[in-house]
Amino acid sequence: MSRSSRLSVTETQRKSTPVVKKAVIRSRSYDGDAFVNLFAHRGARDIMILDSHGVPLRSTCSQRRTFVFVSNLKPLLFMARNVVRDLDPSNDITFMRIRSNMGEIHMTLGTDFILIVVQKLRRLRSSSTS
Amino acid sequence: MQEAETDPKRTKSYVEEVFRKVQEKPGVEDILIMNHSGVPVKTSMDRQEGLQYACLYDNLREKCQAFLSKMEPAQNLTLLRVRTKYHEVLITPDAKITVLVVQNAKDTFLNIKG
Repeated sequence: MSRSSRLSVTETQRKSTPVVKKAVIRSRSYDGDAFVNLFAHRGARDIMILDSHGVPLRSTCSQRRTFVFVSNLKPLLFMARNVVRDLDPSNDITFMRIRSNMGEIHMTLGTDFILIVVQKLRRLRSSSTS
Repeated sequence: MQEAETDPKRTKSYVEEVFRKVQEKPGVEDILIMNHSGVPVKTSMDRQEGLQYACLYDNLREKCQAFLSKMEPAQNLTLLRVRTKYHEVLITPDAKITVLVVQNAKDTFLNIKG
């Protein structure tokens, strides 16, 4: 299943048309190119969309890079959710942001999908000291 | 916090100053300052709650730092922000201390009355 999902991602990237083999009902908020163009306009470098279990559905970067990001960020996101629920069982995580000296990673944990946006800091990059 | 780059000295007066400056910000609920080992140095929470926050979030910070170190150009974690339904937790790792701030972030998207 995971392999077919990755192949589906590759096929989606290979063809220019947004053809998704899985019959996933998607809202228009992240439908295809308009969503990617909107984020790219605001400085996002990579956008990955996972389902609620952490299987990557769509991505704007290569398959290898997607796999590296997802295999590292999925445990982090689920660990953060467990941390929040350990402190207060009625609370739940909605958004997570990891900022480093070069870039920023935004993760949205929803009920239907997980959205990961990787950004680059252009101004602070040259003046970073650490 | 970025002034002393070479050999930053995080003395007790520095911790007190950080605590006082963060507390002046509007919307801040709790502040927790840990040392390098993850032991809470100064906090505005209860003792039990502070220990729980320090243990859990410091563990999460270590995992994030490990992930960023593994990336192709090795990066350093500067700010970790965890947005939950009712509040928002900001973790700022410094050279020797870690500042954890729990603030009341107003959310107009989920429409939850905090």
